[in-house]
Amino acid sequence: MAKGLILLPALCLLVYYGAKHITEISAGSDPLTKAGALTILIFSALVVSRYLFLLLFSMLNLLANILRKEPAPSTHDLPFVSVLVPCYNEEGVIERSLESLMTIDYPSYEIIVVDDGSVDDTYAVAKAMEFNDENRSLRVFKKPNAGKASALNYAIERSRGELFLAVDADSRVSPDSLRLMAPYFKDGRVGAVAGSVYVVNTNNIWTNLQALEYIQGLNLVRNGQAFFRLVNIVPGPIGMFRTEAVESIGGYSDDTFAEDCDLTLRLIEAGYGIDYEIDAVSYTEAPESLLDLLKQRYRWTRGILQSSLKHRGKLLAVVSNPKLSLLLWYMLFEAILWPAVSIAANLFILFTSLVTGMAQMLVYWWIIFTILDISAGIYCVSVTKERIRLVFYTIYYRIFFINIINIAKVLATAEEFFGVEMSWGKLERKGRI
Amino acid sequence: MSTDQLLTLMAYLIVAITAATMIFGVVAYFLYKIREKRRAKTGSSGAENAKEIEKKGAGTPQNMRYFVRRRITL
Repeated sequence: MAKGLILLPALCLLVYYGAKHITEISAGSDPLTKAGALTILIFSALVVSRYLFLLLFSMLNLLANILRKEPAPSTHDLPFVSVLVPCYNEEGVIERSLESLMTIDYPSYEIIVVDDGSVDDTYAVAKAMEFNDENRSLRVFKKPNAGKASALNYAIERSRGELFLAVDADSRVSPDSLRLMAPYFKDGRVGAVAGSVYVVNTNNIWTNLQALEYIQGLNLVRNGQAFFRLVNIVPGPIGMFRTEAVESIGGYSDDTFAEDCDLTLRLIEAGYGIDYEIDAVSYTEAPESLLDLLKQRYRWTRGILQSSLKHRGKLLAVVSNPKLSLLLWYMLFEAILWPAVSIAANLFILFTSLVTGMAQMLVYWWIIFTILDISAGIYCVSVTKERIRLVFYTIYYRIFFINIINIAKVLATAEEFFGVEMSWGKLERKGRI
Repeated sequence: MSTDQLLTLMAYLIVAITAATMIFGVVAYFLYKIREKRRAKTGSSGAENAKEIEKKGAGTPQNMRYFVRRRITL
């Protein structure tokens, strides 16, 4: 928190001097150099404003959490929770995933596994682990394949908890997750609480960059959004929901490829707040190759677009549902505009620097962004349980990783608008959890 | 090497890395699309896999081995 407070003015100063320097360099130059300098300044201003807003609201949310922190609820005050595990062809990971769920530190809960028509031994492996204690149980069901949303709805119908935790079968949750998340629901306006997702298999450059992205690009964003109780995606690997609220909006919907995002938006539309618990962690297996990563991002991009556009009728509902309207504009900005603007700005800056030879300007621009990314990386690592060595990857993060991801996002967006057919695209798991 | 020369060298390095990354990103995307098309045709992933197994006689161990073996050879 204190690190973040020091970071904010330091970043502002850095940006001020960087901008001043770039303006000085371009003064009295030809129009193309000036246009290049202006592009750098506008693009930098956008990136920095986005960072500053996220950092600011993330810190405000942490501060608000500290201020409203109540003593840990007694065992009797904690409601019964159902843990729902939809799975499809997860034989390599399901055993470890269920073992982690059985070690959760919580007085009374049940685990419901729904095998969504796997063609491997997932059901047999999970079925062999069934048990029924006084306060805990594990039940396993099998149904014909109909998708993740259908499996989750099937599990909700069979759940007994007033709250449920939805987890992915390829993830492992921290033992204190239920204890940390359940108290948020004492406030009847809270419909769901998102947890943090960390990458477990940081064994190559792609997974390390994703680990950094998860804390810097996803968890930081959720932390900032949680200040307004407006987290836009309760992630698949860890999200707790009020069962009654989800049932009241008809459960999960299968008409988009991002059922988690769609459900979250519908809860917000119904007037519920969505919070975030930074210390409730799910360790997940990230794609280990670039092509698998692109496959995942392709589905995320199109799924989020489908969910946002499904609610497009609320884009102008600034009076009747201002929170949802604001969130939808933000999501469309992040999904469509920002990746395209980033690519266009990068290309134009490269072009002008090559044509006009404004080498100094380009180097200062790169240095400012790298320092900004490193600072944000240090802040994110310091407020999470992630490893400090991830900060090292911030050097490649923007110049390499973000460019590739943005290109995939833009191309996937184009395919969505042209209505190219898509399938779920399940990733092959290596069983690293 | 003067500061100006160093800055110019750095700038060209940044330009080269960014341009190469962008080309790499586009090529990787199309490679991914080609791979997915091949997988869809051969039925080696997700629902397509399930459909093909159903056609050949649902979920017998022999069929499972057939698909596992075929996936490895792809």
